[in-house]
Amino acid sequence: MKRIVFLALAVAGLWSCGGTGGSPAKPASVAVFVPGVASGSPIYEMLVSGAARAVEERPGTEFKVIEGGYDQSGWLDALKAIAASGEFDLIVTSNPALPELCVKVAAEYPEVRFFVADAYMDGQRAIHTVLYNQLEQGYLVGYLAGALSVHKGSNRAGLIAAQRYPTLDRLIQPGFEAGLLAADPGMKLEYREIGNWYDANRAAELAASLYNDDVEVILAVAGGAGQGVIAAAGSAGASVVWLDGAGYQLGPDVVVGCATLAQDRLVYERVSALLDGKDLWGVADIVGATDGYVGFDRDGPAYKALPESLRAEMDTVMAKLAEGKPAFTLDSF
Amino acid sequence: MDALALVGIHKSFPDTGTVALSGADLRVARGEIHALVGENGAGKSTLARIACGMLAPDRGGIEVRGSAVAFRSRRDAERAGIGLVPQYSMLAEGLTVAQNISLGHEPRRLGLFYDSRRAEYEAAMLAQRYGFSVPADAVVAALGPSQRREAEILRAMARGADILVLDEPTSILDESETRTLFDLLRRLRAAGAAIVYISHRAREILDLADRVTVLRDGVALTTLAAGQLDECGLAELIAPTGACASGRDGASAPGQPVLQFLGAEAGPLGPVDLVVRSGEIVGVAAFAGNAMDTLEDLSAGVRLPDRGTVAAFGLSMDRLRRRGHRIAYIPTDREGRGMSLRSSLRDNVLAGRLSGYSPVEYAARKTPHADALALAKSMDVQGHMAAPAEALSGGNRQRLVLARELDKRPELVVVANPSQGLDPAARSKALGAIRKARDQGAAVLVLSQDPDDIRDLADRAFVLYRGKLKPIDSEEAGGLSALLTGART
Amino acid sequence: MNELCALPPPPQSRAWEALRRLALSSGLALVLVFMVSVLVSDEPLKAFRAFSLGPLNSARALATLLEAAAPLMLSATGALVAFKAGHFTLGGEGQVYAGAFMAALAGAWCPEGSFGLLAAVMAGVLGGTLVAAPAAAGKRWAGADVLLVTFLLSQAALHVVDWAISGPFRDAGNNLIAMDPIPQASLLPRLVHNLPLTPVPLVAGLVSVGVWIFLSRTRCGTMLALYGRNSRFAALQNFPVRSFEWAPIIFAGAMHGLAGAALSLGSNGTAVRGISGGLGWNAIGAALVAGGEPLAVVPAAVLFSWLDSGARQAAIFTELPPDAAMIIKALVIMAATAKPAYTRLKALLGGRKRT
Repeated sequence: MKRIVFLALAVAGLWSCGGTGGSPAKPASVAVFVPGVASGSPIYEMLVSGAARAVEERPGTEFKVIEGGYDQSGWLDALKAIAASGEFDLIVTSNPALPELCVKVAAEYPEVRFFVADAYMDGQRAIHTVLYNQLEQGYLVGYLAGALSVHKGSNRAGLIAAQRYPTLDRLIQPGFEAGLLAADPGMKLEYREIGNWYDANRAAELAASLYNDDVEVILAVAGGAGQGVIAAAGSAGASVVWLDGAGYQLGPDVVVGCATLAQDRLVYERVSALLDGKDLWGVADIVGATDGYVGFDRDGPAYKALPESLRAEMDTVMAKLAEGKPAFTLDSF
Repeated sequence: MDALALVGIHKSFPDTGTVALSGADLRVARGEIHALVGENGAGKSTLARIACGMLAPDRGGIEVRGSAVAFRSRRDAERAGIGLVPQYSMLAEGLTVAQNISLGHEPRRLGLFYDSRRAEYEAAMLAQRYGFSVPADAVVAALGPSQRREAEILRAMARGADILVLDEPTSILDESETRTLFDLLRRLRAAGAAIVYISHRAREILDLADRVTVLRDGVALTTLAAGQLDECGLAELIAPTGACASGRDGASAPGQPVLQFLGAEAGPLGPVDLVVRSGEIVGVAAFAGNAMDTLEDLSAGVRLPDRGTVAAFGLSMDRLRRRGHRIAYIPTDREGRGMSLRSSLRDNVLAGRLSGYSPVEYAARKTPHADALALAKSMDVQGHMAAPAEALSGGNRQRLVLARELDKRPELVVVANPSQGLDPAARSKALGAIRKARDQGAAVLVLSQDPDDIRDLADRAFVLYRGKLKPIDSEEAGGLSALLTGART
Repeated sequence: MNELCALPPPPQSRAWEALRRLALSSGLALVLVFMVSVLVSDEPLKAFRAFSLGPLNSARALATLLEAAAPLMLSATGALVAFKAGHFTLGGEGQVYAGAFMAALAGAWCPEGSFGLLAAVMAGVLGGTLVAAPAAAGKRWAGADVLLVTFLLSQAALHVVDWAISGPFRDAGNNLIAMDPIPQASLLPRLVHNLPLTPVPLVAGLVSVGVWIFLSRTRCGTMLALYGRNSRFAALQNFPVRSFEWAPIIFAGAMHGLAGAALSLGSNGTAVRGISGGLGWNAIGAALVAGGEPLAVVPAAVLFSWLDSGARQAAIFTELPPDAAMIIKALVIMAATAKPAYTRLKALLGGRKRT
């Protein structure tokens, strides 16, 4: 019994030495929740860098990055834990699935606010969202894929996705198909699904089977698993188009085009605005090419190696899109 | 000067809180067979293990040939000339007798290679010197129990032991093999060996030993010359319960047939024709290897016959229990069939009565707990009711099974080896309880490898030899022993 | 060798033993948490404090802790009953997942309200039972190896439910891989406004009390425990061994299914892919740490949930990875179930007894 009492006292002593966890919230404290793993995922890397830059410009603001891993069933508990810690006023995250989870957390922790990029939910006072018009993003790489496929003598292009989700179904894929058809009305789309965001081997198998079947270009919407598509393209001497940036670095020889989202800029701007007290709560914005948040990265080595004519076509497409042509109107989602 | 002296030995086991010995003494002279007896749990094994260096005493001293020693291991004791012959064989089954004897001290050619010829020669010479019959080149797995005993003794002596500690050496031997062992031990005694003989078989002790030390509750109660004692007196010293009954009393009054074997065959057994009637005890004696276990399985309904029938109350054995007949079964394998070792003593002893309680009565616990206590006391089961049955000694486990099964007021009793692990007083009580069941009208079938059980219990007796039953008409000791001797495998 | 000698002292009551085991496990967990904090974190004291106190620092946190522990209490109680009967089932994970799936299915399809909630709960129980049923039948009629069969069935169930949730039953309008949302009126009600506390912890507590009463105060429970330790002996004593061959497995399946239903009908609001999250395996661990005592399952489950929650809190404040909880849990289970280590630790903390 004496030993148990001694142990309890020792533990109490350690507890009392542990710092000020659990103290009342400071004026500004930001947690970035990555629903996955940041490394290797451009969209999440930009999320973190954008938020970090906003916080750096406001000395005294607490900042922490927490990764939630790939298990979607654990994201709700992870968000709750962040809110429950009492340390953060603002949770910044990015993923179309997150607003629904944030609503549940906000119901239990009304003192915490959420900014979710790459998502859409309006009317929730604790949440501000910004959605990218990924119809345009899909259109850009779709046009390039179509034009390059025709150039190489193929009338089929591939789309390999991690899973079905509304943004893919209603924005990315339709945009991609529109781009293919704009490049050549005879283009056909081959869709394959991996089942998760991390199985690169499975992605490689699916890509290889498409490349062996006369497909020359594949769009990978698969997070970390996309590296498998790049590997297969390298083996087949084929090409990949990419979304959200950093694709060129992952496969400089095979990634021929990258439609980008200015996630870092967006997150920086919105987090800065929120930290400065701007009332965006309950607002759901949609941004696109006309705002400069959807674009195309011309600096890839494989892109530069494409025929001049193709690149000239892409320049025209980009210029027109920036003018709103074609008009991919998206007022809500 | 004593060959071996243990003086004032104290030993306790803190893990279980057991105090095994509280100042026990044992002095064994050269050229003596000294029996160490006591009730189940009296401390015999602990004292023997201390003598052999397997345990260190908390207090007390050990002297070997007048010199004080302190053993740190069994090896130390072996070097001091003390050899252990354990109850259960520790020989390597796949090796020969010579290999077992030389294990750890192998003779080598050129210091490198195992010299099997020399090992066999040395083993054979040793055996011949003392008149052992076990062949040195025989593989242990092929030996019978008696020859394994010889091999164990030879192994101890090959290490220079002239003080032997034998723990229940006849527990697996038949009568003839026991006599052979006794002759051997007498020869060793004549050669000057000091022999500590641990047993609870009164007849053997009185037949063999020169002196007897009785242990009770961890203390040496007395040391007497064996000639000063008889069976009754020895039993009273071990456990003064006044239950010094042996032999049969009461008469049987056989009624209707209860258990019937009609041409029953199973494996090596049969065909067997046997009837056990209510109000009688039928005894079957056999040694191991004569399909006694098969007979037990058939009798208890654990197995069905391949041919013929085994029926009780007119029903085949597989349907018997569903009809609610009260059957008591005291198995040979009491741990495997007779109890649940990790369950409490209370649960084990009440297992036969559970259905008899109402839900409320059982939930309230008062009555079942009182009943369990009474049941345990009826057969002097020593143990705490909440403790697991595995904490019980072998003898107490046997008592537990007897208490529970005979409490069922059974209509049929199948009991195998009823006195295994029991000291004389407990044995007497057990046999009394079996007779009482008969007197209350039960049909009782006793199967035993101990002829004394059959002599003391059976109204009608049989011998099982090579799977066939032979009736015994005479109760004379010679008659039964001769038949069993002739039945040895 | 022969018997024991003098009578040993009376053994500790099982309840006390279980409590001591839990106290030692909790103490060990704290020590391990501190060691891991020192080894992995740059701010070990902060990590330790966040880990140990974080899950307890408010009424809401406590309620969350209890709520998270409740499904584990249910599944661990089910596992415990199966273990008592000598059936070492490894099927919990698949049974939980199937229960979650069936509950979400029924909850979304049935009319909303109490009826929908009840239907969902019963469907969850049915889901777990269905996954357990083949193993129970196999044991009863074919003497199948429960450990192997339950494990294989569980693996199959995991794949099938995964496919079902990701495929034909997926809510196409949800960016998460999840089923259709269950109407709010069919979800588990909150007991206290603003606290995430549903009736599940209470139900789980009642279930463990009920199981304790069954095992310690009923004849059938005593028979079951005797059967679990020696089925041959139980058969010879005329116990209903045929029922014992299958019923405990079914009960375990039902409890796991109920736990799965609690997951779907709680804050998730539906079955999300992967919702079982290792609950079936944790249930085995909690049952082992509870030392086979039904009442100890509740604190054992709370201990495990505290470890999970604490690891998440520590990960927020420091670099401690959330997976640290898994390592600590494994070590706690090992220590609690390793008899020699436990006996020595008990002797160290309790002192030696003398007659």
